[in-house]
Amino acid sequence: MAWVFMDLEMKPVDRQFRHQWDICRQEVIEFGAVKLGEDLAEIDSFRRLVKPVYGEIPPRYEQLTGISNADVADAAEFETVLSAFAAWCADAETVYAWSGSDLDQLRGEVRMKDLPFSLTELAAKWADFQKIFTRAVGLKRELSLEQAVNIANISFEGHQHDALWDARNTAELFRIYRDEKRFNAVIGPLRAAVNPQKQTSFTLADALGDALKKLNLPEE
Amino acid sequence: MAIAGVPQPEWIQINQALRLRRFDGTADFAFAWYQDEELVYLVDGVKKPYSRETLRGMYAYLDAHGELYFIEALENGAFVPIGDVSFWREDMPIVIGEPAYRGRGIGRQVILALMDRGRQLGYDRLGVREIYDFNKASIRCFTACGFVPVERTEKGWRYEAKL
Repeated sequence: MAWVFMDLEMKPVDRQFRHQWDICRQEVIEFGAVKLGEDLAEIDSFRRLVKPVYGEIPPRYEQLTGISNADVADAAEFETVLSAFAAWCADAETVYAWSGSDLDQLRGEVRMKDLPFSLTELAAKWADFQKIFTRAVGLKRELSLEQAVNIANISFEGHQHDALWDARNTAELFRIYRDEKRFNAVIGPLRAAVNPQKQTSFTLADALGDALKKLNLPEE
Repeated sequence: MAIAGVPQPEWIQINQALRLRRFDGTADFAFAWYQDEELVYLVDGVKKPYSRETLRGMYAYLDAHGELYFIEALENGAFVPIGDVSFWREDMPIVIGEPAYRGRGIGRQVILALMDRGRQLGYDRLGVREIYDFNKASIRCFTACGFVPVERTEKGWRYEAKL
């Protein structure tokens, strides 16, 4: 059994492509994913850049993602990379993303580009780890990946908005979620703070420290 | 019988067309569900239809260990049983017995409702003792609801969700 953790980087569809923009507001420019085996070790990774069709990558997005127009000039188009990604996921039991919006993006872009590609199989094994992790902490409003990484007290590996590294950090959060001792050590105090009736092994003072305030978490 | 010390509700209304009804000892209609070898294979790992005695024994076991419900769907203005589910902290066996109701997201709605019930009871987690590796539909159903595989079992994995 294997599990995939994935992330996408996108750029906006240029509004001059009005018809396309009405269907889907963004285009994928990078797929990043890691595959974990049963012992939760990384056994494979997937990173592909995608050449956008509807406009160039705006400078702000080049800066944010570290992906330039020159980087994607010779990249494959969306359909080719999506097909390769789906094939790469074939042996995975579940494909986890940090949010449900990545699957929505794939659906929207397939529709916008009118591609003869069925997402049924991929969608059937899709799961939103952002929701799972946020609920586990006891919060109702979704945590960003950066917030979750901070809460879990792991240093952010690589740089944010790099799809492969975001996927890798999501996988690390999964490892913590699965490890009862690590989960209780790093998440337990926060969980006790927001859900005092569920855990009694942590005091509110333990829980709060200054961590909650520093993280600027949304109020429940 | 309910979970020790916890009164079991007669009904859990999930939406206008779906509800859970507390097991009342009558289950003749469920016999047909457990004649389906494929269904029994997914539940027990063997293709052997249940006898009426086996069915009674199973329900007695489930009723003794947790909250046992029939899943009921609104059909032509009346609720009819379409499957069963039971739940306690360590397990949540669920069967959609009526084939016409499979693949319609009913399992997910039932699981999410019972996760809410678990939260109401103050549980911090819920487990599923074993989902066989070949039971892809069940894996996907529980995974989509937030259960993750935590421990290898003989034929699959034990799953758990933090509430």
